[in-house]
Amino acid sequence: MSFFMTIDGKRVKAEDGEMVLDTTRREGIEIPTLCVHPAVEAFGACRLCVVEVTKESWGGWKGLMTACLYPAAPDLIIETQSERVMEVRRTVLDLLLARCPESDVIQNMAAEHDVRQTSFTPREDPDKCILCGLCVRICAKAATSAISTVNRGHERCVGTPWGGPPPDCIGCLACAHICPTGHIEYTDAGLSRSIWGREFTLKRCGDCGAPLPVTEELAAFLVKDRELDEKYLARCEPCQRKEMAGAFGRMARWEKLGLNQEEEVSK
Amino acid sequence: MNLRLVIQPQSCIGCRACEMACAFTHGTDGKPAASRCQTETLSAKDEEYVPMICLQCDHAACVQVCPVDAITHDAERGLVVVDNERCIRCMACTVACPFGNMHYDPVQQLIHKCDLCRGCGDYPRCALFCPTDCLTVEQ
Repeated sequence: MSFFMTIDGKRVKAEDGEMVLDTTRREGIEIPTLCVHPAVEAFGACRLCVVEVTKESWGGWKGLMTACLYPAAPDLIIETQSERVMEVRRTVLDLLLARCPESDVIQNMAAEHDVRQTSFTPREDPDKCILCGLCVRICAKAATSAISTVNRGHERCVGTPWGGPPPDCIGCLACAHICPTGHIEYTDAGLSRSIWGREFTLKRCGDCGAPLPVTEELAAFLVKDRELDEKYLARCEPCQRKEMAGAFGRMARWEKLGLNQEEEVSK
Repeated sequence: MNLRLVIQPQSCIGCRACEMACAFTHGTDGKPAASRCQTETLSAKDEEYVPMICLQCDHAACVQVCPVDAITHDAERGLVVVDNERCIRCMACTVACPFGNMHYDPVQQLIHKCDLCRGCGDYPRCALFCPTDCLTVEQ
């Protein structure tokens, strides 16, 4: 079922079950986010998507809500650019800038909001992790939950079991790809790949021996998890294309000769 | 509108106009390597060529293998669609496709495949440029 809401003074249509952020994205209203990815459920970690929410029946009370987690409802009045919202976003970016002063993503986003320098004391020995948990969530959803956030409070970070190479990791690089600030480091060259301190060997094409862009572990995981036949993840793109082109070519040859497959076989 | 691209390799003369048409439609520099259509040469002597383009399978291996369900089969439009926003670049689909028709563009860092020119003319450009009747469109 669909209904109407008011966003920034504009009447927009929203669908049942979606979040405010989904509606604004569809309408082309820009709200900055760092921890949102379509492949995983919203989490509300980065707090950048805060918007002001009210209803006429609420007697003037306005709440600051994260758009990614606030369900769309009939007759909501939402402001995405109000002074209160911008103040919160500036504070969040100010804090993020103190946490990750070297991240160009954070720097650019802060500059867009007129935060040139953090007013807090920057972290000693900083890295680029903003603890949004996207890597942990995508690993749980698409792979094997090989990584997790560890410790609490100011010591909280994304890590592996006991800090060593994660035994469940399949080397799919989803965490590195999804990280909004590029914190997760990996190497991927030739036949070897390494991430989280663990080394992987790429699977080789069963025909020509060229390295496939997947690791042995990832192929085995997908065969099991997606209930796929093993033969689907055994050969490289050009080899498979060549073989099928050969099959199509044979069919074309029969067509040219005015034969069908059975006649060809019986000869 | 439900379009279907029909490939008849017996008519292919290996001119690779489809590759160029595709590369220029979906990119600006017209690199044949970036084309979603790849012509395979079976025998240059007998002039046997086969253009390989996504067949938009009903039960596609790429749809089945994708761990985040970023690839979907749109039955209404007869199209297998990749949602690159959702994709996590695990590259499983490029290996899984038994026809070798899922490509990865390392420059744009995107998975690309034939989309029957949806959003760029809505009519397969390769069929438009095919000088023989090898690539035709069925409505």
